[in-house]
Amino acid sequence: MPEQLTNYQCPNCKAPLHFEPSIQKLKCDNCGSEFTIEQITAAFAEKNQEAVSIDDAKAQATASETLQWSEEETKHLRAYNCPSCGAQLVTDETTAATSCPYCGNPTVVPAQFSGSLKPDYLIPFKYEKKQVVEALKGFYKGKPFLPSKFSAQNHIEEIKGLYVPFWLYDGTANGNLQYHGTRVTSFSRGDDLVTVTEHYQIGRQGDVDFDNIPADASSTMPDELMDAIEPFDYSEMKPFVLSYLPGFLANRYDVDSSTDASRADQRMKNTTIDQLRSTIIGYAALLPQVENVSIEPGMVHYAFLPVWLLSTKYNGKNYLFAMNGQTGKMVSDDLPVAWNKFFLTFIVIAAVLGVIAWFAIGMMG
Amino acid sequence: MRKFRNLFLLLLFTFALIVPIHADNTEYVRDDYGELNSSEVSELNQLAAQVSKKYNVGVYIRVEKSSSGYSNIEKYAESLYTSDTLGYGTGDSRECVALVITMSDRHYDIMAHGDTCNTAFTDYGKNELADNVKHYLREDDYFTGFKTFIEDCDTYLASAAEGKPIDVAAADPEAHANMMRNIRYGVTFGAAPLIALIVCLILKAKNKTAGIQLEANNYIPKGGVHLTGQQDIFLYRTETVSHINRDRGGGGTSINSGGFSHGSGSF
Repeated sequence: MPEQLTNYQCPNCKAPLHFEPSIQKLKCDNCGSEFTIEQITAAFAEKNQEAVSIDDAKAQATASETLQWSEEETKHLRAYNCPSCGAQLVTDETTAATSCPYCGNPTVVPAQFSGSLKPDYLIPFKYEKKQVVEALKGFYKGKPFLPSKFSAQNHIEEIKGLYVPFWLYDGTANGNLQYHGTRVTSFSRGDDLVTVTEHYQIGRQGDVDFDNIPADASSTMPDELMDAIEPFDYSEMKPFVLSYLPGFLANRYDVDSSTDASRADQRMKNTTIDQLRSTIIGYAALLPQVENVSIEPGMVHYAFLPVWLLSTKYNGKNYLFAMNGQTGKMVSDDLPVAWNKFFLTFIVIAAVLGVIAWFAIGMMG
Repeated sequence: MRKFRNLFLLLLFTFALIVPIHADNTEYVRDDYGELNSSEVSELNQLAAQVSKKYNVGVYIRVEKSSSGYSNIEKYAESLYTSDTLGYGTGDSRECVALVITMSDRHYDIMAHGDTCNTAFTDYGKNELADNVKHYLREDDYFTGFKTFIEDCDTYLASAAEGKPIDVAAADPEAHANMMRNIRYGVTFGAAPLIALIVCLILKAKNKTAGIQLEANNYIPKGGVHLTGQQDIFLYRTETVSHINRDRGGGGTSINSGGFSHGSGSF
C-alpha cells in the first residue's frame, strides 16, 4: 500500500536524510553518507509518484476520524501515518514538509506538489542553524537601546528553517508622466536681488520591464518580514525537486497569485514613476500633473524561497525574527526599547552639546 | 571829499554785509546734472559750510552725469578729491566726507578721507547713512536726500568727537548683548536637546528593521528601462526683485592704500 508521506532514508542504513546547506547535498544522520540531489531524486521518484496518487480527501477524512472534532474544526487539518514509525501526524492543510514529532524523521507530503501546486523553482538554504544563532547575536549589535537582558539572555524559543511559498511576477509597466517644472536663476543688480523663474511643461513616457518581483504566498507569514529580507539572488534558483526539502519545513501557498498581484503591481507603478522621473533633471521644483502607469502582466512563477524564522520571549511577549536563508540578511519585528538607556543617552548628548554651546557662544558674545 | 568818504563807507558797509556769506567760497554742493535749483544749492551749501566749519572737515555733495573714464564710482570720487582739492587742511591728509552720485547709472559713493572722517564714518556707519539717503534718492527727492546727508554727517561727526563713532557695536550695544544672550539660551536649552532627541530617535529606529517594500528597482533587468518620449516645453518667465540687506561688517573702517574709505551702491 503506498504511503501518503515520503521519508527520505539513507539508501545505505535507512536512517533519516537531511539537506546539508554547507555541502548542498543530502547527508545521513547516522552513517554520514552524502548524496547529491540528482541521486536522491532518482532514487525516490517512484515512491513520490505513489504518494501523490493518495487523495487529499482521504487525509482530511482521516483527520476527522482521528480527532473526532467537528467537521468545521477538522476542515483545515490533515492526518498522515509516518512511514518510519507508523505514528499519526496531524498537520494543517498547507503543510508540505515537516518532521515526525515521534521519531524525528523528516517527511514530505508529495501530494502538496502535484499538478498546479508544484513550484517552478526553489532556492536552496545556504545558512545552517548554528550560523543563524550566531547571526542573531550579531544582529543585536548596533542597537544601543535594546534592553541588556534581552540581548544577554538570547533565549531562542523556537528556530525553524522554512521554505516559504512566493509568487514571482514578471511584467512591463507603461508610464506617462506630466509635470509643471520651474528653473530658477538669481543675480544681483545693484542692491537688488533679481530672481528669474522659468516655467516648463514636462512630459516623460516610457516602459519599464520587471522580472520576478516576489510576494509571499502564505497567509501565515508576516508580509513586513518577508518583504524586508529581500533581495534573493535568483542566479542560484533551481528547478523544483522534492529532494531539497528533507530537514526543513514547507507550506504550500494559500494566497493565490491574483490576490498577491496587487502588491507587485503597486511596486511596479512606484518604481516606474521614480525611474521616469529620474530622467527629469535641471529643475528646481516639479509639480505632478499626471502620473499614469498601466501594467502589462507577464509570467507568474511559483517558487520556494529559504527563510529561517526565530522567536524569542521577553517580558512575556514573543518577538519574531526572519533571516534570508540564502543571503543571511536578518530582520525583526519592533524590538523592545530600554527607556532608561534612551533618556540617559538623551541627557548626556544634550548636556555635552549644551555646555559646548554655552561656552562657545559666551566667548563670541 | 565828503561825498567820496560816504561812498567809501557805503562800499565798506556793503562789503561787510557780503563777506560773512562769501567768506568761504568753497563749493560744498555742486550739481552738474541739474537736479537742484539754485536756491536749493545755496541752502545746502550754507548747511554744509556750517557743518564743515564746526568740525574742520569738508562735507561735499557732487551730482554728476557719469563716472566716465574711471572703472567705478569709487575711483571717480577719489579723482574728485584730488582734482577738486576737496577737504579741510593741507596736503594728502585733508579731511573730507563726500557723497558722489552719477545719474546715468544711479550709483552713489560715500567717500571719507583723513583720520577724523575715517573714524567718524565707519563701514557700518556709511551703510546706515546710505540707507537714510537712498530712500529719498529713489523717489527723486534729491534736495531732502542731500539735506539728510549733511545733517547726518553732523550727527556722525558729533558722535566721533565724543569718542563714540557710530559703528556695529556702538549701534545698539544693549540690543547686541540681548541678541547674543537669546542665542546662547536658545542654542543651549533649545537646539542642543532637539539635536539629542533626533539622535536618540535615529538610534531607536534601529530596533525596527521590518517593513513593506514599495519599490522594485532590484527586479529591473539590465536595459529594462525604455524612455520612449520626453518633452520640455518652455511656457513663460516670471521675475521678482528684492532688496539686499548688505552685511554691515564686523565694525571699524576699511581704508584703502590711498587713505580713502568708501560705501557705495545704487539707488
